[in-house]
Amino acid sequence: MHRIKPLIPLVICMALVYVLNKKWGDVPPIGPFTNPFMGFWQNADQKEGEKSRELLLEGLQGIVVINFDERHIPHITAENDNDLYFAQGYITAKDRLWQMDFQTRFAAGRLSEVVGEKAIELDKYQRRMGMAYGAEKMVEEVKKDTEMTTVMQAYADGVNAYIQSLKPKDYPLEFKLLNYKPEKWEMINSALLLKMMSATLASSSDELYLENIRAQYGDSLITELFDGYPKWEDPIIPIDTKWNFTPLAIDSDRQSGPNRQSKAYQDLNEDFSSISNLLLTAKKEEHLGSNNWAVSGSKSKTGAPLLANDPHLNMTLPSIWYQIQLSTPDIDAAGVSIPGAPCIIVGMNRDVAWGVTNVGSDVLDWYEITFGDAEKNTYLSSEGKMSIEKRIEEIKIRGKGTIQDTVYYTHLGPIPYLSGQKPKKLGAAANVPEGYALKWVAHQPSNDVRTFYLLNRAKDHSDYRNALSHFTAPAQNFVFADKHGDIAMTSNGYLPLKQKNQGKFFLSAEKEADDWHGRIPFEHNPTVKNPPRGFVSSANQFPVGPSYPYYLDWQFAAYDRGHRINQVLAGKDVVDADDMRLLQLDTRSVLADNILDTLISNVEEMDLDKNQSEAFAHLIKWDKSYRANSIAATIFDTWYNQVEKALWNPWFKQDSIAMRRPGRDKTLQLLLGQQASKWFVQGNERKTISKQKLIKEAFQSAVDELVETHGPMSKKWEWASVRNTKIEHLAGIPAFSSPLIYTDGSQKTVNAIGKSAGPSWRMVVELGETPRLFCIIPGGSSGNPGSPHYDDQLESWSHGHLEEFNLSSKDETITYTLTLHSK
Amino acid sequence: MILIAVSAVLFQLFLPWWTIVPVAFLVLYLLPMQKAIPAFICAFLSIFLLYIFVSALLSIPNEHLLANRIATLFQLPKTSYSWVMLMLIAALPHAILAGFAGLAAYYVRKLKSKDKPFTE
Repeated sequence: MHRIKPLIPLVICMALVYVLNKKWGDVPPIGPFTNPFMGFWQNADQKEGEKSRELLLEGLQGIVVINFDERHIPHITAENDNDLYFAQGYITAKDRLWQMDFQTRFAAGRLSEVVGEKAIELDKYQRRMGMAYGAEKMVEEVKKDTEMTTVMQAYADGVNAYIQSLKPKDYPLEFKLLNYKPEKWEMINSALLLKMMSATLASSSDELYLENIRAQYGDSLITELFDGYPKWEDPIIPIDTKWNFTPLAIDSDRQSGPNRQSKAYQDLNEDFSSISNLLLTAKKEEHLGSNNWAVSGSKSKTGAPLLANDPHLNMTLPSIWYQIQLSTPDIDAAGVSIPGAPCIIVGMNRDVAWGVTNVGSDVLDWYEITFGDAEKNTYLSSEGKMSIEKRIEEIKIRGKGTIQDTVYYTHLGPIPYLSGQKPKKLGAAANVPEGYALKWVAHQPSNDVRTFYLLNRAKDHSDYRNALSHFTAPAQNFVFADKHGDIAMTSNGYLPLKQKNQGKFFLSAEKEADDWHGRIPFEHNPTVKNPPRGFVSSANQFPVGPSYPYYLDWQFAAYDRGHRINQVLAGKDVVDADDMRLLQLDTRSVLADNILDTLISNVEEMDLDKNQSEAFAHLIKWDKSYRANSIAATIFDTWYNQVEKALWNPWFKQDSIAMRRPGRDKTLQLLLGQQASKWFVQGNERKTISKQKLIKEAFQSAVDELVETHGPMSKKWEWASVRNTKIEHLAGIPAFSSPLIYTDGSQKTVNAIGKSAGPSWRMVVELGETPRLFCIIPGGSSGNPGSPHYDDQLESWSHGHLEEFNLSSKDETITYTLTLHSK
Repeated sequence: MILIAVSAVLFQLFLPWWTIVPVAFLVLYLLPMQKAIPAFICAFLSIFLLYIFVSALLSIPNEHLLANRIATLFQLPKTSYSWVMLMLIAALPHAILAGFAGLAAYYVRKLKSKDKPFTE
């Protein structure tokens, strides 16, 4: 017995080492993770910042100085382009390596390698949508441009120089938590991240829903409810702008679309909640959008133009943007970059400023495919039988080996799902029809980095135009201003040349007329320079009025934000930078301006119970602003949603068929119109009711819903509490996410804050001899949850403050300096 | 105890996290304790105190920003001392491991000294 006894503690030791060294489900290996010499404790960045130091790195040609200011924003000064982008890559990786890795894996469909089986369907989806295919085409295109190859390669070299300097104890926290290693950075990773912007901003597709609606109700309903230029609109390019070009003609006598009435609706009686909601990068939100505007010197207090931009994207921690200043003898630009891609995407330099909002036009179409043989080796096209190209995707699954997935490619693009292949529970794939080929602008060869490279160096309007001519996707409304006094706006990108409504429904691979007819020439893209009103603006609404000779899309985002911006800018003779900030924070609801009185006039107080009357009394006094503490805003918002539901659900919500509601413009037309309409019905049997009854009952159910969810009227009804904005960690880890953010705004107002999407960067630029940049991000510079700069700008952001960007790198604001020397 | 702590630091700087097992084992084998429980406690405390000391060294200049987040991750109760609790909890598995290594050393040593008369 005594010979066995010493073995017991030894066995316990070995068992403990085994248990503590292994990753159990989502639990990291406890041993290495909690070990203070290599685990999470090593990621505790010092609050007072690092010490200034010198580093020797291979791949540099000269000396690079990187100054960090109090917000940990890097200001890079290099002697040449190679060193500049090398340093940008190095320093971005230093702050954001895990984010870069994770987002790249997400885009490429390689998450399963890290998180295991639960990401398989998501990975397949990304691959089947051709994300990597698009990125490969981008790299091919970039390689034809030696200057851009240098930029992209120097950036990758910088990232790799940082990765090589790491020991396991230095790995960013999430690598330790998810228990994997950073891998070498390739140029294609940057391309994947840029393509991801297209997936986020230019992949909306309603075809499936509209086909279902057309199959159910016929063409006349489509014409009535899903067509036509909006009644309420305030287009981006002022409506009186003349088009000084001769439009290209499209041969248009051929009927478009598949021959037979479209396939019956797909069975969509399924649960769409899924991992893609958890790993929220790709989840499409309805109200992703942005604002930008520029005011000419004639309206500005300083006499030089002002420019403002706030892109509304999914707000995450680490922040989706990385603030940076890039200087060489040829360039001095500041603004935000995408972690993982070179150059500044939105920002300014000594001479100009620029910003972007999403255009959102139809750049994604579905083509019905008929296979030419049973083995699916061929398909029928307008030019006869063509071969299918099969691309084998290998998906490595953590701890489970590799699976192969075959994606079928046509000349139009990939067929994401063959009949019966679509997974039941993947939210991202909800609008993807089975058996259709995808033609998408993100698959076009592109060299978008050149646009930003040139904008970073632009000096005037003609440089701006030249830079824009290189841009493909996602199409953006590029606002511009320069110190000479020019302001401009261009809805820019590869906008396919189409017949009216082409691509609103499914198209056919067998019809020549259904393919894109090339693109709208860059020179014909909607643009305006120095309009008489003294300002330009955009907020994702229709880019143009009905006089524009090309078809862009049949619908755009509602006009509310754009209209409000124009209203405020037109109403002021002289503005300054702070007026720009206040306009970004504007919470006035144009929807409420349009509809609230009508809604109220349809409610009779005697029909209301106690809670309802109290809510009603509150609402009548509302200033129509979505302030954080406004209870009336909550009541209005809930009421309006209930009205839409009551109005459209009897028509467009059926368990087995995926459909969508008409736009807000149609809803308004009906609500402000006659008491009786064929659309005012109730229940599945669609019993006719009056408008008054519909509105009143919607009010009652809105209040009932609020009482049920939040109890009787109290502070819990305040708009900011009900909206419940939180900024989530990129991998959805609650401990690294923000608590509830108490701040003004709604997705229907200029200050477009939603539950998880909102102003991901607020910027105001004051041009002039000494330009100034005021800005903020809802997070911080560092991607390390253990850094004081992980979310140090969040509070300021939530109060609506902007911080002045330290453009001259004054000594007193520099906390430390890294000097990079060539090895 | 000091010897265990010092050699643990040296090992941990270059070798995997579980090398505290041979460290604690060797030290207590070469410098044996008289009884089992003190052997366990000696190894346990060496690592426990060392790890708390090192994590405090890292966490204090960070003002426990990271510690508080990790405490939330580990679902520890949210108080102004969550970071202290985290230090204790994080050091615990390592201390237990070292403790068992110390215990093993004690028994092996005992076995050897008992065996000696028979083998020689």
